[in-house]
Amino acid sequence: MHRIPRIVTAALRGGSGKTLITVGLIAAIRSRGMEVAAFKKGPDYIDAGWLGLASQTSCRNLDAFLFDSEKMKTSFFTNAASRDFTVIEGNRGLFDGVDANGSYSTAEMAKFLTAPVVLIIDATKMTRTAAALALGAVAMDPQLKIAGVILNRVAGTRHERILRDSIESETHVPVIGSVWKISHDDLPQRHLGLLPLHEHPEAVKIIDKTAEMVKRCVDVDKVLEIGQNSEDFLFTHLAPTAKKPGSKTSKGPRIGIIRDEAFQFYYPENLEALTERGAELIEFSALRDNAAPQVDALYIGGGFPEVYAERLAAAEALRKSILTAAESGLPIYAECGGLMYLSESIEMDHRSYPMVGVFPAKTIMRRKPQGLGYITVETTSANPFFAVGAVLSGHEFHYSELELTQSDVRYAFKVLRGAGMGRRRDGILKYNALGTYLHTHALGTPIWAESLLRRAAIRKSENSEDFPEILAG
Amino acid sequence: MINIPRLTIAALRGGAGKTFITLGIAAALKRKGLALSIFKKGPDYIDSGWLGKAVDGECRNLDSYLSPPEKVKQSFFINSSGKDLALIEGNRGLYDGVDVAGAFSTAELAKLLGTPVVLIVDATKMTRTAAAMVLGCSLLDTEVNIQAVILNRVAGARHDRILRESIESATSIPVVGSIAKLTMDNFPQRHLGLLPLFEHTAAERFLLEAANIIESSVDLDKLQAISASASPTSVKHSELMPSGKYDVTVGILKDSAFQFYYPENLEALTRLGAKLIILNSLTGESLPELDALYIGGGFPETHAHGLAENKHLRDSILRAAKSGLPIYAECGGLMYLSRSLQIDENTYPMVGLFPIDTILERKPQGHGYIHVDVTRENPFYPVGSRIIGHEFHYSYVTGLNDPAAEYVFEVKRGHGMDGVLEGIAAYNALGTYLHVLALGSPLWAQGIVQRAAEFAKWKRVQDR
Repeated sequence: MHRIPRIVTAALRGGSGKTLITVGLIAAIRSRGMEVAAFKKGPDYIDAGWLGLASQTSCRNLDAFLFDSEKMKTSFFTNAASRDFTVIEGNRGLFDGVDANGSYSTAEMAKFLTAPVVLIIDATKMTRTAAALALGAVAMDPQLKIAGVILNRVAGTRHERILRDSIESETHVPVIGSVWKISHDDLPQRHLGLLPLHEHPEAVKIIDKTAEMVKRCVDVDKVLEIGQNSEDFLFTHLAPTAKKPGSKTSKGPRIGIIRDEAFQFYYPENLEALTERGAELIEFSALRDNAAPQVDALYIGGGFPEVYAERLAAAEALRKSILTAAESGLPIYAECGGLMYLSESIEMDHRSYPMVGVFPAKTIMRRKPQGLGYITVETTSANPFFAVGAVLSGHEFHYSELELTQSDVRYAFKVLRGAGMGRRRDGILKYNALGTYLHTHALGTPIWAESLLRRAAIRKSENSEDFPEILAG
Repeated sequence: MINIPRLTIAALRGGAGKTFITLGIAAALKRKGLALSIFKKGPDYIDSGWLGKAVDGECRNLDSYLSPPEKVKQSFFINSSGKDLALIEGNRGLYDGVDVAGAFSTAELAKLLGTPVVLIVDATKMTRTAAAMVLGCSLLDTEVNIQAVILNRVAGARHDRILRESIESATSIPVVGSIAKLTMDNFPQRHLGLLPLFEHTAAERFLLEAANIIESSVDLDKLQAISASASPTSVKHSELMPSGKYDVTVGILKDSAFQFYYPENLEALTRLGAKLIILNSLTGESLPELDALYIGGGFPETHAHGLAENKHLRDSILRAAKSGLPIYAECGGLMYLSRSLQIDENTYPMVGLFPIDTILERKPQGHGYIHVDVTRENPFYPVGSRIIGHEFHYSYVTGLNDPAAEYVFEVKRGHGMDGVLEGIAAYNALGTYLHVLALGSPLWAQGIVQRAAEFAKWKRVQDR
């Protein structure tokens, strides 16, 4: 039994202002000198970036679809136990899951973690009907504990009074906050869910403003009280996993990570999975570096290469150096934005931006998402990383699609669920590089880090054979 | 006892696509050969204009705040007599009223009239949580007879299936329609509720398209069956509005600049004996022989240039006013009778009857029900009476302190001209931001015809 004061912030639908209020709440609690653990439900990178910045820790994603509930529980416990308070931001509507039963919904997660829910209601163009919605949320699942309501986009005093009184009288759930529409005026909330502004110097200012707004509009004491009244957390310590013998002493393979404004979608667990297995991570930038460092494998995550297409294209020396490395057999694992970067070009707004050119395809930007949601693939062809038959689950969210420039293209995966590269295919292959729209979460796909490490180790030993003197020296 | 198949179309909040869907249902049922009566809950003129167009008839506003519930009930059943189906479009969220108890909400109206409710759920960015919302609506007031759900802005087959299954299993209320998001994108739906009917040249085509979409995405037979499940109710037999034998001629400025007239208001005048002459503020050259003039609301701001250009008519109205013509002007009419209308950098000369100027703003300056007390002598209302109406204006007036201006109302609820002053009077003219619904304010029509009769008599004396 563990005392982990915790709350889940949830809403009735996406776009209700959940992230903004959660970010402000975390920052407001931190400003009281408390250490806050932040979690984001679901696979989203951008919200997690904001929550991490607000909490000054790395925000972890909790996703029972991508990794089983027990792992979710372990991750939650490991990262929350030592903190004073924990805030988990839900995703989508409270009861929205992958099916009609709401499996993997925010509500299911809150029940699994026995965490009380603070429900954010967007009160736009609605007064007492908000009470019907709150009542429905309370009645829908009696096992779920909805402990407070925060009203968002309230139009004024009279609006607030009607909302507050009707919700409290119909549901007995206290209204613990009321954020007025006007309070949003100086906040760039539209960007919050769209652009990774948390990389931006302005981000800290935005967080401060958001915290001020929450302090003004939300009863933070009450939020803390709700969290502190949450049930003790049941968790049985697992035996600590034995570190691989010798992984600390003998030098492991070097894995390059492209990490900058253009590529920033990395789950902390993914990088940890690599280092825990002995890899040394070498980070570099696709915008500022002239050559890829000497590495045994390369991992390129997702991001916004389309936003930085011009600068990526301009960094020609680096592109050439990566292409040369790929041609020489460097194992490369590229996800989404990384895949786009390794294609021949990014095509948008009638312009073409040359990219690395490992894969025989152009990346075409579309106005609407070409894939969004969970994706499951089965490995059907030999490839550097996964055994044929291996099934992987992940998440995809891309506005781009690939247009092949050659006919004989090899794919590693058959798509079982989701869009991938279209026509049930994904995992484009060339040399020892694999590009995919699927974002892997290492907690759910341990074979990912193992494969990358194994492939890197092979590369390293090949290099040692080729240049024994250099490495021996 | 009286009965008529009837439905109330309601939503969880404004902006859920209610008007579009109601229009489509009306047009599709009409195409099936049904004779429909149609109603809009609340004081809105624009939705009403569209709804009337969809059934090729008048849309009546049902508003228990502006008229007694018994009158609302009478209006509904009298105007539905002989029809196959009566359709009501709710307003705002189903349970949204003027207070915490939801007084005067769409739900209350549906209960008053005993109509089954069809709930429109905007499914944007939500799946199973929609079921919680519908559940909450069915639990909040079990006397509200929610019989069906229509899903709007559905993202695809999978979204549709999850929504349907979860709503039907959590609530046992059937989903009778599901309208895809993409279909709606082809529509100027955003303009509904914004653009008045007269300005929408493609109105006919729009309605046809709406009917097509509804036909292919809503189970109309099911809706008809639900409408027929309404129970008989009793309605008091009495005259809806008083009649009289006033032999007067009342001019009405009715055109694309001024189009906000409740049918009841015009009927109230004719029932009292008035002969109505419809005039055009943009093309009319001068006022004909009249005993009174009624100028309703509208969009003088979108026709400011045309109104200013028609100096002839403006001068004619000013002359008539100075000679004592009783003029009752509401909102847009008030703006027209002011000295000028200022829009951004441009100032347009108006009639110049009232010593005030009108400035158009980007945000509403007054929106909602308004109560005024009649505090001073004026041509139309007895001192001491209380008038209840509706206001919705993006303009405000300046020059309120002009000693020449006389205000005869005091605002008790709402905003009016400045939160206190209302009802500017000059000669026999009265201008106000308050829109009155004759069904609930018999004093209004009575005041006009009486003053018109006096003016007619005075003119005859002058002529002699």
